[in-house]
Amino acid sequence: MLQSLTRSAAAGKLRAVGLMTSIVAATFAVASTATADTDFPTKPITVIVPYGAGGGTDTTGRFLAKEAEKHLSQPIAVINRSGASGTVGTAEAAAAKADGYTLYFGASDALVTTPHSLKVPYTVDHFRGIVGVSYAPSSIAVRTDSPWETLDDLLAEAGTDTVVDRGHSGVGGVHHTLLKSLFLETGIKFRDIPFQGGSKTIAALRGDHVDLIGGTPGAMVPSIEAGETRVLAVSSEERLPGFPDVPTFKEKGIDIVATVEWYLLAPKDTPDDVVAVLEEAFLKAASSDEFKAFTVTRKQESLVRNAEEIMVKLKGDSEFFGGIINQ
Amino acid sequence: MIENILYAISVVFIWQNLMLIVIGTAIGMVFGSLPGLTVTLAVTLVLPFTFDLPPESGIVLLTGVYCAGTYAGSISAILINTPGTPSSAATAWDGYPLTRKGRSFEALSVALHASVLGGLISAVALIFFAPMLAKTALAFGPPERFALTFFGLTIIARVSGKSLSKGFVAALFGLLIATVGVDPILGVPRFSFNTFYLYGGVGMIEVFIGIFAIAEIFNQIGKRSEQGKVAKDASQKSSIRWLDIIPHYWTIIKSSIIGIVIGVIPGTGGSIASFIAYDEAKRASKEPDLFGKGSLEGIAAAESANNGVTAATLIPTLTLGIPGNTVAAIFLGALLIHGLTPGPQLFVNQGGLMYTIMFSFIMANIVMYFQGRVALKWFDRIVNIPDGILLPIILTMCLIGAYTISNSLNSVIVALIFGVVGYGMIKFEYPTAPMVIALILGAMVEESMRQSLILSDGSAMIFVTRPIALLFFVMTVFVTFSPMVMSLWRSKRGAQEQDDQKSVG
Repeated sequence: MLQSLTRSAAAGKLRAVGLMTSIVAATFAVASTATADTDFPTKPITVIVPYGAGGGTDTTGRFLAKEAEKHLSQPIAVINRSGASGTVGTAEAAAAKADGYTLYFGASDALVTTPHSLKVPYTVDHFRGIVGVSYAPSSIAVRTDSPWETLDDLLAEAGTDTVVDRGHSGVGGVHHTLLKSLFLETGIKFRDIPFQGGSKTIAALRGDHVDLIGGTPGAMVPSIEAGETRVLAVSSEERLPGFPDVPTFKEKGIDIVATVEWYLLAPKDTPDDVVAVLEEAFLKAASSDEFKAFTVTRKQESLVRNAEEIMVKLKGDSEFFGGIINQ
Repeated sequence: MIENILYAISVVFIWQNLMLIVIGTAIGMVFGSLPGLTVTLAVTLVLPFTFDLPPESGIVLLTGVYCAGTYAGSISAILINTPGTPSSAATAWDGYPLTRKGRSFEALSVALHASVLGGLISAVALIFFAPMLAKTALAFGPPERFALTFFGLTIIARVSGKSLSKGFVAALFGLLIATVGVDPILGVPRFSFNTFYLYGGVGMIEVFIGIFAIAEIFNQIGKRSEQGKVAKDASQKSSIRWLDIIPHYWTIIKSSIIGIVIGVIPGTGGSIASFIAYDEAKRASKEPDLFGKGSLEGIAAAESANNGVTAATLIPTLTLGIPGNTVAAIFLGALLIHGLTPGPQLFVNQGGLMYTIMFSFIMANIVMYFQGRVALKWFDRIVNIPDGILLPIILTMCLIGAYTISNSLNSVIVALIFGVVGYGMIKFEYPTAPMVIALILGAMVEESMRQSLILSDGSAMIFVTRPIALLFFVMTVFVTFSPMVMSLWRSKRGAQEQDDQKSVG
């Protein structure tokens, strides 16, 4: 279902591009023969991953590239430009030649939240979308022995003297931003304890070193199964299939939607016809069953977005996170 | 548990899987021992090949690479003064001086034996205690972690060599470097000099390449007119048997236990274990003055501790999802792809796989021993290459190695800067060991201290009201002050004995 939806969206985009650029546009509507129409690609494509080899984003990017190679006439090389929490690779991708041969595969933090808190030579506007492949919402969780059974119990602490020790995976990240906006909105007192990464945060919660954490719900599944933690609410638009009983913030009347997205982008001046070719190939790759199954192992929710959709999402996210971070 | 163990044995001892262990350890050894190629890279490169294997076989292969690669970091540490990982830094302190004395083969052999023993002790201990240890690991919150890392920092006082004040200067420099980057608590950049490259801090491996290898190359070039090639020490044994390790057996057992205990604590990694084991070996040694100048005991301590960690660190890696170092992180990523989900229920739900990893680990250590015996003779010949040919090759590999860390010239620049700094430290006789300890532990000490103080609203009482933290602080005080108290006490026993005591202590 989702697959066919994104396919038709992709075809629509291709049509628009075709009308503008050449008179053979009609053929686009019938069959996707974009590759036959332009020379691109004539040499190998490089995908910059701004994190080290072997991590979550890197393995996802590599799997996507492997799938996309089946639909392109040229090989795709994934290179890791790690350093400074992903900003080094992102800056390099933003400044790369906009010919479609250098692409960028990343996750929200480096591109969407970091430019609001640190001085980096790029923003979301330095890129244009190709495809969004998956996302993971944030959530808040407590230990099972916590007095807060539901989100309402926690919200009832507003105005009391209770100080919540809240943990998260790092300053300025998506999970931190979620907690910040939740506590700002409700006025609950807190102590803020950042850890380096989600796993350490979860261990700190399980070991009774903090009261509440913000983190990816998928990463908490093992400790939920062990009966040690409880997720109070998730920050996605709708309830997650893996957590049917956990409410979203939205349905509890708190207007917070915060997700980490994984996506493939190109420098902003990359020509339309080149992007069209890439979009078609990568949409196919991202929609394949193999790739979707893979993203599940990486604790991501599968959601394929086309070139336009992912940019709308990114710009909206950037505005949202910027608003909270600058408060 | 018994059926899980039987299952693991039935998996590991299929000949196909045994072959995979042999291949895996060989790959790990080559990558780990060459400067510029790292075990992290080896696991990353092998990973795609395991996609087509059954999950168990994939894990067996990766365990071989991980295990041998971690050990092999000691080979380059000893022969060319380039520790492949932070944990083999302590090995270089004694290993490289031995190489300069022409006793490289002895150093290599002791490192191999100590590593294999450390790995085996740790793997066997873990088969029996892992589920239990997994629970205790959670007790380590910010105050406990601060107490442990602070304990690690006090070792600086004992590896400073001749001048304590120079040791402190070097340590403070290391701490200063550790503060570079985005503040972990407030998220504001420190000492980044308006270049966002430094937001993530100064890369540790780049610094090692600079301060150890490149500085030593400069030093050798500088000395060239004065000193010729290293002659092999004729008295050194050409093959080492287990018998020769017996003098160090107590050191190895003690260090392995230190490695296991510290390896289980999430997020600390092997480096601190090898420092503490090294320090303890030096404290207990009959020849403490030899440490840092070429002590086989020092190598035995550092290597058995760091290989003890290799297996033990899998406990927090797999049950908490917190890898102790980058290699464990990549290894964890690889296991995730093979369907293993880290979490508290791992021993319950996937016990068979867990024990398969442990048994692969034991086999990898055994295979590694025999491969090592053959390979070391070849590695040792590196020392026979004339400096005029060897040094440029090492320098090239170091620079390539620095480049591959983040695939950018920034890392090469950092390595070169620290090469110059390291050469300056050698020339002005500032010890590098305190700086390296401070650099590795600095970020951990800072983060855990600040987290603790946030939790306690700024009160330092949090460090003494928690039993585990208090225990480490008591140990810190004991280890730091006991030598002084002891010598004071002894000096009171009469002037006659005083002279003897001075020569010992």
